[in-house]
Amino acid sequence: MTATVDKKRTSVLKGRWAAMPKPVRMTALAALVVLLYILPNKWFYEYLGFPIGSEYFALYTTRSDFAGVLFDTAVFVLLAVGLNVVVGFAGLLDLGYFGFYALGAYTVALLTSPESRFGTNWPWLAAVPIAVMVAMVSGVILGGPTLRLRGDYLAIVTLGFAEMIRLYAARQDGLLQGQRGIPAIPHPPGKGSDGKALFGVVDARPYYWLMLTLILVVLLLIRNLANSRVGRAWVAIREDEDAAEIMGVPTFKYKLWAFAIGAAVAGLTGAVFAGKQTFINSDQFVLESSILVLAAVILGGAGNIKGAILGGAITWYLPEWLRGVGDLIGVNFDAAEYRILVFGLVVIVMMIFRPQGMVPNRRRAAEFADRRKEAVPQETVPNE
Amino acid sequence: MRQKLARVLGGVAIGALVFSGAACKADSGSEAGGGKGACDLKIGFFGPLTGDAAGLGIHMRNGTKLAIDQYNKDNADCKVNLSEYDSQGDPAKAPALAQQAVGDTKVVGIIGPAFSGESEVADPIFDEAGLPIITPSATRPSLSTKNWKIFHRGVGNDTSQGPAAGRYIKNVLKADKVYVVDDQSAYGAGLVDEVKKVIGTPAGQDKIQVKQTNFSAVVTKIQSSGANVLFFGGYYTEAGLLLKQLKGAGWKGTMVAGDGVNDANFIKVAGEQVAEGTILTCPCAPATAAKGTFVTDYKAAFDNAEPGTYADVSYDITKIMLEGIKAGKTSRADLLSFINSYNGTGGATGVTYKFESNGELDPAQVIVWAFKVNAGKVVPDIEIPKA
Repeated sequence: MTATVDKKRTSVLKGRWAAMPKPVRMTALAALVVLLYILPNKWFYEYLGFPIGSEYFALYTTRSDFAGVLFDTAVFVLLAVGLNVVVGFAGLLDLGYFGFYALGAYTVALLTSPESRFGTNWPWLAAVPIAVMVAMVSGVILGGPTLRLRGDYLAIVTLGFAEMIRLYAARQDGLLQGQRGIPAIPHPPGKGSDGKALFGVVDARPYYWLMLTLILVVLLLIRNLANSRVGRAWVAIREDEDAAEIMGVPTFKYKLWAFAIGAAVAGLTGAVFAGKQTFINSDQFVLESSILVLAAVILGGAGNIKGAILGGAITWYLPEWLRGVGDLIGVNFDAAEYRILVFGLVVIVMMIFRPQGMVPNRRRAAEFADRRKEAVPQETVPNE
Repeated sequence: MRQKLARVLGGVAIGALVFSGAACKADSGSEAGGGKGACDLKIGFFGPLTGDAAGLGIHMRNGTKLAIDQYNKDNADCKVNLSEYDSQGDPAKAPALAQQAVGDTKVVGIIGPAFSGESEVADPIFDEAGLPIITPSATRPSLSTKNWKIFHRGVGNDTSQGPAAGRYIKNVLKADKVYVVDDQSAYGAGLVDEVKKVIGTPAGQDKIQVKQTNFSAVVTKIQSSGANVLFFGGYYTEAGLLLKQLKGAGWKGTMVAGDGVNDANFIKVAGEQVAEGTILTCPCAPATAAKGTFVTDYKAAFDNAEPGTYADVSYDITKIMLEGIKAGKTSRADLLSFINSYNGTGGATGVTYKFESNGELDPAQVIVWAFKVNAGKVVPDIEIPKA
C-alpha cells in the first residue's frame, strides 16, 4: 500500500528535520523565505524548468504573468491560512468564508473610491484597519447566534451568509452598485526610487511582496495562538466539544474567537486584493471560490499551517499553470478547459489515499488511522 | 548528529547541482522590435473561452481567428498569430493575463476584453503599456470616459442602443404600458436605464437573475400590470425562457430586447412560434452582400456553427489591426495611431469604423436597427431614426 510507505517516508523526513539543530532549521527557513521573495523576478524564474528535446518544460506559468499569478496565489494562501484557523483548529465547518473576504474588499472600495456612494475618498492605508474590523465584527455578529449549531448545520448557515452578500452585491444597485461594481479604488501608497508609484498597475511584484510579508506576519501570530491556551482550547473543541465543555473549556467563547480571527484574516486579504484590483464587483466573489478555499485547506491537511499553505498554493497555482501545458507538450489543446476535471480527480485520489491531507496534522492523522483500523473487519470472537 | 547534518547538506548540494545543471532558459525567440515588416507578430484575444460565459467569448474568438487565418493564407511568408487570453469572464483573473499580454513583445494589439467588468481591470494595464485594444462587446458607457489612450469600442455603447430601443417602443409600437425587466448584469441594467429615460415611468419593473429558469413570479407581475410591451435587458437564454413562459401564460404583447438577445439561439430557446414578432435592436446594420461570405466562411471554418453575437464585429476589428500590420505599422505605438486615424468599412458588419478621440465609434456611424423575428429568422425591420 502506498500510503504506508508514504507515511514511513514522511515520518523519516520529519524526524530528520526535527533532529536537526535549531540554527540549521532557521537557516533553511530563512533561505526558503528569501527564495519566495526573489521568485517573481524574471531573471530568476525563467531558469525554473528544464528542456525536453526542443520543447521547454517550464514550471512557471507561460500563459499568464508569473508575478500576477503569484500574487493571486498568495491571496489564496492567506485565505487558506485564515480558514485553517476556523476549520482546521476549531473544527467549525465554514463554507461562507469568502463572504468575509468580500466584506473586506467592499469596505475598502466604499471608503476609498471616489466613485463609491460614500464619497469619503480615504487613502487606501486608512481603510485597511477598518476593513479588518468590519470583517471581524461581522464574524462575531454572524457567529454569535449561529455557533450554537454544529457540523453540517453550521456549514449551511455560513454558506447562506456568503451568498447573501454576493446576491446583495449582484442584485442591488444600492450601496455596492450591483454588477457595475466600484471602480477607481486607489493603490497602496509608496514611491519607488525613480519617483514613480511603487504600486502601479503593470508590475504585480510589489503587491506580491506586500502579500508575502502579510502572510509571514499572520503566520507568526497564528502559530503563537495555536501553541497557546487558545490553541489548545480549539483542539479540545475540535476533538470533542461536549467533553471540552464538561472539562471547563468555555467552548462558545473560543469558537467565536476562532471565527472572528478567521474573518479578520479574510478581511485583510480582501483589502489588499481591492487595492491591487482597483475595481471590484460581485463576479469576483462567487460561491465556487468559497468551496475552493475549503478544498485547499482539506487538501493540504486541516489543522496544520504548513498544510494550509501548501494546499492554497497548489489549488490556485495548478489551474493557472495548466493553461500553458498544451504548449509544453506541443499539442494544441487547452488544458485549462479541464481544470475542474483535473482538480476533481486530484481531490478524489487524495481523499482515497490520504484523507488526512498532504501535510497532516499529527492528531488528525492518528484519528484517520484509527478509523481505518475500525473499518477493517475484526476477527469474529467465538461465543463464550 | 554531525554525520546526519553532513549528509543532509551534501544531499542539498547535490540536488542544487543537478537542478542548476538542468536549469536553462526557454528560448524567447527572436526579439520583435518595431522594425519594418516584422513577422510572427501576435494579436491577442481577451475574453471568456471557458466557464459560464464562454458561449459569447468563443464566437468572438472565432471571428478573430477567421480573420487571422484568412490573412495568413494571403501572406504565408509573413504570418500573424493569434494569442488567446482566457479570462473565464472573471475580473479577478484578468490582471495576470493582461500583464502577460503586455510583457509579450510580439503582441501588438488586443481584441477585447469582451466584458465590461474585466475591461475595468485590464484596460489600465494595457494603457500603461500603450497596447492598443478594440473591444467588440464591452458596452458600458463609462469605459470611454477614463482617458485610456488605447481604448476603442467597435460597437455603439449602451447609450446609443438603449434610447433607440426606447424610441422604437414609443414611436413605432406606440405602447402605452411598458414593463421592463433586466437580468442585473451591467449590460442589461444599463440598457434598461437608458430605455426608461426615453419612455418615462414604466408600468412595472422587475429583475431576474442570470441562469434563472423559472420566471413564474415575473410572469404573474407582467400579466397583472396589463403591459402590452415588455422590454428585456439581458441575454438570449433568459430572454427565450421568459418569453416562452410568458406566452404560455397567455400574454399577447410584444417583447423588445437588445443585441444580447439578437442571436439565432434565442429562437431556439423560445421556440419559433413564441419568438414570432419579437423586436430585437442591434447597433449594427443588417446583412449586406459582403456579410454573406462571412457567414459561409465562418460556417466552413467552424464545423457549420452559426456565427453568434459579435462574431462579425470581432472579425471586422481584427481586420483593422491586420490592415495596420500589413501597412508596416508593426509597433504598438504605430498600430495605435493607425487605429486612431482609421476610416473604413467593415466587410462583415457593413459599419464604417471611425473612432473618436475617446475611443468610441463615431456616433454618426452608430446606426441602430430594429430586427423582427419572422418565421424563425431574424429579419431587418427598420433603421431607428436618431431623434
